[in-house]
Amino acid sequence: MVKGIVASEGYAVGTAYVYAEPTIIIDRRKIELSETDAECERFADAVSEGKTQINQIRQKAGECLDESEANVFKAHLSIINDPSLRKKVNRKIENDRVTADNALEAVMINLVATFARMDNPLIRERALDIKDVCTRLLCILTGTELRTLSGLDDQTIIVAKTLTPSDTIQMDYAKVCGLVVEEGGTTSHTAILARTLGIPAVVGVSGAAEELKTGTELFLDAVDGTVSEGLSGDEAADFRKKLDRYLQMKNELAGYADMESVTKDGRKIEVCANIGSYKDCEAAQKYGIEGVGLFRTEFLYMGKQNWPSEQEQFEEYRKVAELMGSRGVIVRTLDIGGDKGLPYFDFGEEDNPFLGWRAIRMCLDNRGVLKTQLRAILKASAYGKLRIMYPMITSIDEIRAANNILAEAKKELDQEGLGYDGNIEVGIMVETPAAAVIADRIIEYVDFFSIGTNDLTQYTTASDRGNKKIASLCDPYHPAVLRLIGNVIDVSHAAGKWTGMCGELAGDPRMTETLVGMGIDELSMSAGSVLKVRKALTEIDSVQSAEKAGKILAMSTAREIRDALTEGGQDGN
Amino acid sequence: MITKEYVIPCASGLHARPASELVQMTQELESEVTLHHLGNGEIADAKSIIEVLSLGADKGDTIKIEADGDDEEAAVERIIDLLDHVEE
Repeated sequence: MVKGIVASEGYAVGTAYVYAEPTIIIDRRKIELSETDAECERFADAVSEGKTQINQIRQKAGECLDESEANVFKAHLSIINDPSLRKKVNRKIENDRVTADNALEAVMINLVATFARMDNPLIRERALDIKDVCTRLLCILTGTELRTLSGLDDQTIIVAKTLTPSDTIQMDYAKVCGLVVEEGGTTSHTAILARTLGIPAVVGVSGAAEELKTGTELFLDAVDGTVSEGLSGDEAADFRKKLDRYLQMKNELAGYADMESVTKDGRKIEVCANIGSYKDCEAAQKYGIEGVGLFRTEFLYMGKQNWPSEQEQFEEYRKVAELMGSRGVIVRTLDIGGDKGLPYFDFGEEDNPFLGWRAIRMCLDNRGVLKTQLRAILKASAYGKLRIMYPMITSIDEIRAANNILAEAKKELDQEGLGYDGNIEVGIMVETPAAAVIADRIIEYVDFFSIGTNDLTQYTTASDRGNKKIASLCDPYHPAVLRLIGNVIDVSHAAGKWTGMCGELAGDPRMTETLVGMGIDELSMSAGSVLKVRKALTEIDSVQSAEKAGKILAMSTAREIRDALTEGGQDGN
Repeated sequence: MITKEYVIPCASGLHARPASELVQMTQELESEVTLHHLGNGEIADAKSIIEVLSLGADKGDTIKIEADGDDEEAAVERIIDLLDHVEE
């Protein structure tokens, strides 16, 4: 049994497919002069076969590629077509009298090392593309099977060291019932993908790719975060019972997709999804979301080689706006820095990146970056109901400064004669204790609040949310966090405005009653939690929940609160 | 054969997108195209992404574009046009 961190809850029984780098056996014999032409030709054949393969995968991926994925293919094709690669390999075959695979391997090692040493981070990243392409060619030359994620059997559990966007594009989602990944945390690409698709996933499982073998039956418990091989007898029967209950519940929940999010006594709360792209937004439609409470735009900036252009951003925001129609979409301006960097921008070394130059702080120092984004959001606002949200706000000065840039962007669009929603709402993400405490002052400058509970918890309890040793301290059930939330909601209502929530707490069905009792107006979460929360919502009475919330807020410890919320028999599944 | 000196205008230099677009375009040309970095002395085949990226040409660096072949004049023009207008 191996253990990891749950990235997407659920249970699965399936066949392991270990997706790992292939073991390539190179033919290292010296060749005769008479053989060199044949080896060069063998390399040329491998190149055309490689091109065919890349084009086939590209075709299969079809039109659903986003730009960063399409760029992976472009990069791979330009490398495989590279005349210099061919020249280098041919020269090596002729001069050193080695086989094509031996020559290519040497050239690859050399190129990858050269690129990895380059100063420019954009170019350093290309080392990965070169390695991918050369590995494909080496597999062709040596007749080695190159593992891919297409053409999987039914009920496959994928086991991998890491999964990059270029791996997952070719993944046949319908065949995958679970993911086990060695790298990554709960906010990694894999984790977000798994939650969006509703596939159980465990990440941070060290040694999984070595320990688990392709073809064995795996029991994936993505509630406790364990993966077991070959359970039998009672253990297997117990597991299957849990799996059945999970599948049954999933089925039952499916019925909530078409329901309205109202309490028993008719109070309407918007249940929305957090998305990182248009693709996520499309995938979330099946849960009947009533809006997007958080559009994380940083994914448009990450995995790229340069700042995304205004046009590129506009296209993405417009597609989301059109898809959602009259349903609101809160677009959070760039939240980067802290634990997330950009390959093309130097944030500098920081002792405390989470307390450092991130999000709105960095954007206000790089006005051009923020203005480009605000122009793109404004232009897209003509196509639906977009709202703007600034992250990491601690003071009114920051809101004023950001709004000045917004005003400039509006003025520019006016001058250019471009349309936008003149009444677009502007809010802030409340995720610092500073903002939560002076929310009564801040509310005069904004149209709404959205509480980001992950960071609010981390900053309130002064505990790094990535540090496992203090994970138990970073608890959103801490009464201090809940009191701050209560204050934020109250002052927004006193000003005739509203408050939503987009942190993980919003997707925790045990907390739904308390939050409704505190008066929350909107809850936004991973798409995979929408149905659970909607179900919880339909089972509560808003008057009773206000009484209960009062009791919860009067409690002294996180444990007391957790006990009170779990004893009702809701097990959080 | 014709040559022309040119100063790189792209903020990120001849890396990333400008480099890949350049290579995609030059691969369609008849002419042999060579880029000489006049600062560091490196030389690159403009049809090779690997060599273009290894050239180390940053914004403001001067390169000499050298084209040799039937479409050499159009080649140089198209390269300059692309680098002048490429969206980063």
